Amino acid sequence: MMKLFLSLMLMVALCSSAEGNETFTQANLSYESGKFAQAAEGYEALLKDEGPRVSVLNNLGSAYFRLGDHARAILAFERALILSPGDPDLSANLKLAQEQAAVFPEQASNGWRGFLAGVSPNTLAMIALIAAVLLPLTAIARIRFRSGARWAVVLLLLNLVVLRVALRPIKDQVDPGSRGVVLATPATVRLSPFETAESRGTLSSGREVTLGQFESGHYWVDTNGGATKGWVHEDEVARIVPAILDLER
Amino acid sequence: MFLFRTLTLFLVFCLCTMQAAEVSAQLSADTVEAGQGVILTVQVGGGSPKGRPFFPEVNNLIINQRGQSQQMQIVNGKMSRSISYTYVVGSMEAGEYVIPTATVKVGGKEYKTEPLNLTVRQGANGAPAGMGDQEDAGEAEGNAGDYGFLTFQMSKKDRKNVYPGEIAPVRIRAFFPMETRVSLNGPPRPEGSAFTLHNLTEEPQQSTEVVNGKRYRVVTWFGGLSATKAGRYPASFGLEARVSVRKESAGPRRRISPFGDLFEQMIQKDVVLSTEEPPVLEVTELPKEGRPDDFTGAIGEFDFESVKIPNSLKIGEPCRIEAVVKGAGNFSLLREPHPLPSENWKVYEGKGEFSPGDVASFAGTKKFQFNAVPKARGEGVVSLGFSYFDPEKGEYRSVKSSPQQVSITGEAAEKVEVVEAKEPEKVEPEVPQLAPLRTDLGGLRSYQSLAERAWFMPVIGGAIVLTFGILGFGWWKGRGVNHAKLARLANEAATRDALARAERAVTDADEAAFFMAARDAIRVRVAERTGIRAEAVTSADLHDLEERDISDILKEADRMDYSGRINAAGELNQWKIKLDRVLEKLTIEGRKKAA
Repeated sequence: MMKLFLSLMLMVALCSSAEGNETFTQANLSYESGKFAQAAEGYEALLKDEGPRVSVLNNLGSAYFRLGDHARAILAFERALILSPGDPDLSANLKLAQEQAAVFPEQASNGWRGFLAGVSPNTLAMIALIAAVLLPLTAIARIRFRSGARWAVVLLLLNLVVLRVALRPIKDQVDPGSRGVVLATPATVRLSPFETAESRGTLSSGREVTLGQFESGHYWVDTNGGATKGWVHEDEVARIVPAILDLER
Repeated sequence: MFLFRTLTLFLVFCLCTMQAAEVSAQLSADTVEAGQGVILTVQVGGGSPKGRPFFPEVNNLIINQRGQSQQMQIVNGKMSRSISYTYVVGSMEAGEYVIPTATVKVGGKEYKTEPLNLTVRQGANGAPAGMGDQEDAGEAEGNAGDYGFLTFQMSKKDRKNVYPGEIAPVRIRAFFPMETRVSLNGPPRPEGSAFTLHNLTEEPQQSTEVVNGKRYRVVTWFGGLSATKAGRYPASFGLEARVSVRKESAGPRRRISPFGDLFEQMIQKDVVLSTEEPPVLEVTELPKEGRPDDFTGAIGEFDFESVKIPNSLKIGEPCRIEAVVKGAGNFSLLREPHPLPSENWKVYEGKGEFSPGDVASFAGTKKFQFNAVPKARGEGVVSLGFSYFDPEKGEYRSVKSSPQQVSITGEAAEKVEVVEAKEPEKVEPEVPQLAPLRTDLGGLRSYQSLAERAWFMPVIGGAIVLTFGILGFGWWKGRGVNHAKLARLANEAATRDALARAERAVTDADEAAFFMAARDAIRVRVAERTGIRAEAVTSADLHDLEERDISDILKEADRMDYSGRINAAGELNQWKIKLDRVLEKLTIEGRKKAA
C-alpha cells in the first residue's frame, strides 16, 4: 500500500515537473520569436503554479525588459537575486534595467561593510551556523585537554568573533519583505489611503521604496531619501519578496 | 527744604479732601444685545472713597467689575482729584433693566449714584451665552480646576456628512479661562485616524469672550477637514497646552499690587483639551453613478472666472490657453480645464497656480496655463470645461466657460500627425545586451533566507548557551584543586617507587637496576626543587649539582650504562646509604626553597 502511494506521489511530481518544463520551453520559444508579451505570460503562469525559480525570474525580467516595462523587469531581477545572490548575469541584467528606467540605486559603501553587504544573507547565516556548532566543541576541548587549553581558548574566541561578524549584517539588513518597486508610470503618493485623496507627489517607475503599513488597498511608502512619504495604491507598487497574500492574488 | 515741600503737599491734599465730594454714574450705551455688555463708569470726585461703589443685586442683570483709574488736575492753582470705577453690565435675557443706585462712602459720608436704564434686546446671531468680565478673585478661585475647553464647528453648521478627498472648512476654538496663563504645545490634532486637518492657520486669531458669565481667552484656528475612510466617525480633536493657574492656597488676589500678577504663586499643568461632544460625521464614498469622464477628484464649488483662448489658430500648432477658476474646495485636485469638444483638441499638461482667498486656503482662484493643439479646422465656438463634485448637492457638476468665437485654419486633420511627426525624431537606442536566457529550468527555491527560518536563532542561541554551560561545568569541576599539592604528591610517589626499586636491587644485588632507580629518585627530587617536571630534568642538570655524593652516584650510574661492567660498584648497601643521604639533603633543600 505504502509502495503504491509513494509511486503515485512520484508520478505526480514527475508529471508536474514535465508540465513545468514544457511551459518554460514554450515561453522561451515565444521569447526567441519576439513574442515577449506571450513569453512573459508563460513565465508568470509558471511562477504562480510552481513557485520561484532563478531561471524563470531571469527570463521573465528579460521579457519585460524587451517589452519596455523596465519596472517589472527590475522587480523580476531583484527577486531572482534574492534566490541567487551575487549571480553576475542577474546583477548585470538588473543594472541594465535600472539604467534604462533612469533609476540609480544607492551604491554600497566600500571597505569591510561594503564587503559584508555583498555577501548573501544565506552565506552569512551558514557561516554563523558553523561557528555556533563549533563553539560547544571548542568548549569541550578547553576542559578536556588541559595541556592544549591555550589553543582551545583561541579557537573559542575566534568562533565567537566569527559568529558576531556573521550575525551583525543579518540583524542590520532591511527586512526584504518591506522592499518594494514602483510599477506605475508614475505612482501617485497620496496623503490618505484612498483614491481621491490629495496627491503629495509622484514616484518614478522602477524606483525602489520601503513599504510599510497596508490599509484600504494602499501601502505606506517611504523612499530612501525620505523626501516623499505617503500612501500608494497596491496596483502601483509591488513587494520584492511577495507576501503569501500577493502570491494568491 | 524737603520738609517744607512735604508739608505743602500734605496741606494741599488735606484741602482737597475737605472739598464736597461728587459721585456720578454713566453708561457707554443704553441698549445692548443679550450676551453682550456695556461699560458703566462711576466717577467719584472731590474726595477719597472708602472702597468701591456697591451695587445691589438685580435679577438677571450681571454687573462685573472691570477696573479703576485716578485723575488729578491743577487748574489756576486749584487742584481736583477724581477716581473712576468701571463695570461691564449686561444680561442674557432680553428686557428693560434698571441699574440701581450705587453707594460709596467719601470722608465718612455716604453718596449715591442716579439709577440708570438699560435695554437688553435679543441677540441676532445666537452668540454663545455668557457675559461680563470675570476678574473677581472669588469666582476665579471657584473655577481654578477648569483649564478650558475646545469647540469644533463646520463652516456649514447643518452638514453631517463629508466625502473622502473633500476638504471641508472648519473652525476650531480653544477657550482658556482669563485667569490662566497658557502656552500651546502645538496646533489642534484630530483624535483617531478618520480625519486629517489641512491648511490650519499658522497664527491663530486671539480674542476674549464671555461664556456662561466667565471670561475666556479664545484662540481660533481655521482649516480644512479631510476624511480618510468611509463610515461614521466623531470629529474629535485634541489640543496640548501648558496651563498655569493661581495656587488656591495663595489666598485672595492682591488687587492693588503694582506688579500685577508677576509675584503670584502659579501651578503649571500639561493639559489636553478635547472636544467634549464631538459631532458625528458620516463619511460617504463619492457616487460612481454619473461620474463624468473628466472628473479629477475636485470637490467643492467651482466656476470659471476668466478664459483666454487665441482667436485665430492653426491646425497642428500649439496655442497657449489661460483659464482662471474661482471657488472653494480642494483646489489641489482640480486639473486644467479642457477645450470642447474634446476630440478636436490635443491638450498638454500645463501649470496651475493657486491664490488663496481665505486664511484656510479653502476658497480662492487657480490660474491654469496650458498648451493645446486644434485637430479640426473651421469657424466655430470654443469653450473650456471641467467637472467637480458638489458636496452640498451630493452630485457631479460639469462647468463650461462662455463660448468664444475662434477661427481654426490649416490643413486637414490628417496633417496633424505630420506636424506632430515633425518633432525631433527619436533615435532608436541600441538594444542593450541582456544576459542570455536560461534554458535549464533549475530547482525551486524559497525567498526565505536561512536566517529567517524559525529554528535559526534558537539554534544559535542554544549553541551559545551550551558553550557557556560546558565552560561553567568545567570551572565547577576544577574548582578547589591544588595543582602544587598534586605535583608534590606525585613526586613523593615517584621517589617512593624509585627507592623501592633501589631496595629490591640491593636485595637482588642488581647493580644496574639500583643505579637506574637511584638516578630516577635524584631526578624527581631535583625536579621538585627546581619546579619543573621530572621528565624535563636532563643529565646535564644532574651533573651540574655540586654535591660529591650525587656526583659519585651519577658517575657510577654512567659507568654502568656506558661500560656495561657488572659487579664493579662494590657494596650496594653503602651506595644505598649514600643515596638516602643525598635524597634527604635534596628534600630539605627543596622544602626550604619552596618555603
